[in-house]
Amino acid sequence: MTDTIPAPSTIEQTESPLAFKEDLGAFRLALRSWIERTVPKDWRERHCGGTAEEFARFQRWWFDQLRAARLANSHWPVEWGGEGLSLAHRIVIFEEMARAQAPSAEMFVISLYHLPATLFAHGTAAQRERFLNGVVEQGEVWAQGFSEPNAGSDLASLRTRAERKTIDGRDVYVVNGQKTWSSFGMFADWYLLLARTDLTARKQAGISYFIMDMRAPGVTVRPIRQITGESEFAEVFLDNVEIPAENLIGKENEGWSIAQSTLAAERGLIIFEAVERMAIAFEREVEMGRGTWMKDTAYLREFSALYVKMKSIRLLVRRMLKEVERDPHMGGSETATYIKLGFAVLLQAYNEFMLRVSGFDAQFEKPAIRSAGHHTANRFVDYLSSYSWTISGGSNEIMRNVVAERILGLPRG
Amino acid sequence: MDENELAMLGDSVREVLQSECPHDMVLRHVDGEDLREPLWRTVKDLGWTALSAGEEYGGLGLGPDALALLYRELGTALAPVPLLPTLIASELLYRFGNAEQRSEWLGGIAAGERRVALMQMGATPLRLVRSGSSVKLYGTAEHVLELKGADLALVLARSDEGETARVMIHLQEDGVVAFEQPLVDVTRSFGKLRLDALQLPAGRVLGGPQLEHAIACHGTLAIAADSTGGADTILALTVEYLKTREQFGRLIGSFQALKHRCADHKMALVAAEAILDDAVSSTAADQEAWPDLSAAKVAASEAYAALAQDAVQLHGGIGFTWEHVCHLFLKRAKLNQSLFGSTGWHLDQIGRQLAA
Ligand SMILES: Cc1cc2nc3c(=O)[nH]c(=O)nc-3n(C[C@H](O)[C@H](O)[C@H](O)COP(=O)(O)OP(=O)(O)OC[C@H]3O[C@@H](n4cnc5c(N)ncnc54)[C@H](O)[C@@H]3O)c2cc1C
Repeated sequence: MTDTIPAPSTIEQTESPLAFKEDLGAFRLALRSWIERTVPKDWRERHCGGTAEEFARFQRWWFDQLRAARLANSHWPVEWGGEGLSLAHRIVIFEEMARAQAPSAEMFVISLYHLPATLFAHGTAAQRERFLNGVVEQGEVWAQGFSEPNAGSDLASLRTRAERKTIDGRDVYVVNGQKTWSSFGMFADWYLLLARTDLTARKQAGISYFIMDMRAPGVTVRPIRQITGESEFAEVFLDNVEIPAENLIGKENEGWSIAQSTLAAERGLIIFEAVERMAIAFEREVEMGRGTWMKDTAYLREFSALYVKMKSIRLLVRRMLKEVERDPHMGGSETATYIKLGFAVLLQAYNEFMLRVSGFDAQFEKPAIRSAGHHTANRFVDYLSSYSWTISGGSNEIMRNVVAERILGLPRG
Repeated sequence: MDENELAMLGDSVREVLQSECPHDMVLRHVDGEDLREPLWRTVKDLGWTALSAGEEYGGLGLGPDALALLYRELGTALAPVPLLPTLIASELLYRFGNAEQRSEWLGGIAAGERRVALMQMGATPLRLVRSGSSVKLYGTAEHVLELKGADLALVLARSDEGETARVMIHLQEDGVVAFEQPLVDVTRSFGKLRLDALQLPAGRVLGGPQLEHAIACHGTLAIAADSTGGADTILALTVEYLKTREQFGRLIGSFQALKHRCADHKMALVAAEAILDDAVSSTAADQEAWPDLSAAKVAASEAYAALAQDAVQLHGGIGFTWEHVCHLFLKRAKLNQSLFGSTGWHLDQIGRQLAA
C-alpha cells in the first residue's frame, strides 16, 4: 500500500515555512503551500486499514517530512532546541494541519512531549544532546514503560527491578520484570523506563528513571490487540537487560518525582493539538450534519452542549500555555489536570454522540484511516479509541481524586 | 405457560447456552471460529425455532413472556445465533398470513429448516409494482438482519400508491444477489439484496398496516430483553473484577467512586427490568401493547449501553483489549440502541402518546 513512499534514514533540509515566521499571515500561507506540496492527496485512502508495518513506515515518512522542514519539534521552547513559536503560530500550525487533514504524528508523541519534558528538567547535558538530537536528527521513536500488570493507577507499586552492578568493568543496571500497555512499544527505539532500585524504601522512594535501548538483549516486545482491532500497544518483558549507568535520569531513587513531570506533559500540552483538531472536526461535522441529524432539534442541542465544552477546554489550554510561558518547568499545574479530565470526558461524549446520530451506517465493520488521530472517518473506532484518554495517563477517576484531594484538599479516601 | 413452566424453560435455555455458547467460544467466534452455524443446529434440534408458531405447525404457540425469557438468555450469552428474524417471521405468518402462506412457509420455518432474514423496520422500502397475479420489486434492500445463511428474506416494499407490504423472497430460487454487510458487533449480521425488476407471484406479499407494528413490537421486546440479559451479565463480571483487582493496597471495589457507579447501573437495570416485565405482561394480554414496549426498550438498551461503556473503563487497560469479553458487550449494546427503532424514535412514540 505505502511501498511507493520511501522511508529515508537521512533527510535533506527542505524549504521551511518557518522562514516566514516573522509575519503570521505569510507563515500561514507558506505552511499551507508546504502541506499541499508534501502531503499526498490520497494518503487517507491509502492508509485506510493496512498493516501495523505500513502504519509505522508512513509515520516515519511523515515525521521525516516534518523534520526536514524543521516543523517536527517547532513547538519546543528555544531552550529545548525548538523554535519557541508563539501561541498564535502554534495555533496556525494545528489549524492548517487539521484543515488539510494532514496525518498526525501519533507514533512520536512520547518523543515530542514526554522525552523533552523529562530531560529538560532532569537530564544531563550529555543526555539532552544525545537523545533530543536523536529525535530531531534521526527520527527516533520513544515509548513509555511505566505501567505493569499490577501497577496501573497505583504506579508506585511497580515491581520491575533494576540492580546496579559492574560487569566487565562497565557500570550497568540489570533490569528484570514486565511492563505493559506501552503505546507503540513494538516500533520504539528507546524506552522511558521506571524501575525499582531500592526494595527497602517506601513505595515512591525506591523508584528510578532510565533510558533503555529497546533493542538491547533481553527485551521482548509483544503487541497486544485492542478493542478497535488494531495492536497499538505492547507488553514488554525484561530479562536481565543491561542499561549503562549513564542512562539513569536524575539521581537513583528519585524517579518518582521526575515521572511526575513526564505525566504533566501528557496531561497538558498534547491536548493542545488534540483539541485544536477537534475544533476543526466540529466545523466539519456541521457541514456534513446540516442535511441530516442537525435537522433534529434534540440532536442539535446535544451537539451545541458539546460545542460549549469543547470551547471551554480550548480556553483552558490557552490559559495553561500562558502559565507555561511564565514558568517553562512548571510541573503538575492545576489547569493541566482540568484539561486532561475535561478533554477525556468530552472526547468520549462527542464520539458517542456521533456514533449514535450516525445510525446503522456507523455499525458496519470497515477499516479506519490510520495516522488520523481521533478522526479516522470510522465513528465506531473513534468512539472506542476515546478510552485511550479516559483510561491512560491517569484515568478519569484518578484525575478526579487529584482534583478532590490535592486541589480541593478533601480528605483521602 | 404458568410461572413454573416458564422458570423451567428459562433454566433449560440457560443450561444449553452455558454449554454451547460460553463467552470464550464467542470470543473465538469473533476471531473467525464460526459459532453461528453450530448454534443454529442446536436451537433447531431443541425446537426453539418453533416457539412462536402455533401447535398445528409443530410449534409451541408461546407468548411474549416465554420469548422475553429466551431473548434475555441470548443476550446473557452474547449468542451469535440468527434466531430473532425467524421467530418474528413465524409470528407474522401465524397471525397475518393466509392459509396458503401458512402452509407454504410456516411448517418449514418452525422446524428450523428454513431460516428467515428480516429487513429492518424503517429502512428505505423497495419499490413494489403490482400487475395481475404477480408483483415486481425494484431497488436495494438494505439492513437485512441475519441474511447470511438464510433461506428466505422478508423485505419491506412500498407501491407508488402508498401500499406498504412485506414480501417473502426465496433467496436461492429467486436468483437474487445477496451481499454481506459485516457489523462491528459480529454476534449479529446484516446484509443487503439487490433486486432488479424481480417478478414474483402475488402470494409472496404479506400486507396490512398491522404488520410493521407487529414486527416493531416483537423486535422491540426482543432487544429490550436481550439488553437486560447483557447488562446483568456485564455488571456481574465487572463487580467480580472490582472484588479481585487490587490497587493502592485495596480492592478497587472499595473505592466509593466505583461502588456508586455500580449502584447506579444496578438501579437502572432493575428499573428497566420492571418496565420490561410489565410490558411483557401487557403484551401477553394485548398484542398491541404499545408504547409500553417502547419504554422498556429505551430503559433497557440505554442502561445496557451506559453500563457496557463504563465496564471497559472500570476494567482499565485490560478492558481495552481484544481478548477480554468487555468489548463484545459494548459492541452489542451499541447495536441494540439502534436495532428495531433508535432511542429517539421510541421516545417520540411515547411522547406522541403522551401529548395526544
Ligand atoms: C490506550 C492505552 C494506552 C496506554 N499507553 C500507555 C503507555 O504508553 N505507557 C504506559 O506505561 N502505560 C500506558 N497505558 C496504561 C495506563 O496508564 C493504565 O491503563 C492506567 O494507568 C490504568 O491502570 P490499569 O489499567 O492497571 O487499571 P487499574 O488501575 O486497575 O484501574 C481499574 C479501574 O479502577 C479505577 N481506580 C483505580 N484506582 C482508583 C482510585 N484510587 N479511586 C477510584 N478509582 C480508581 C480506575 O480508574 C479504573 O477505572 C495505556 C493504557 C491505554 C488504555
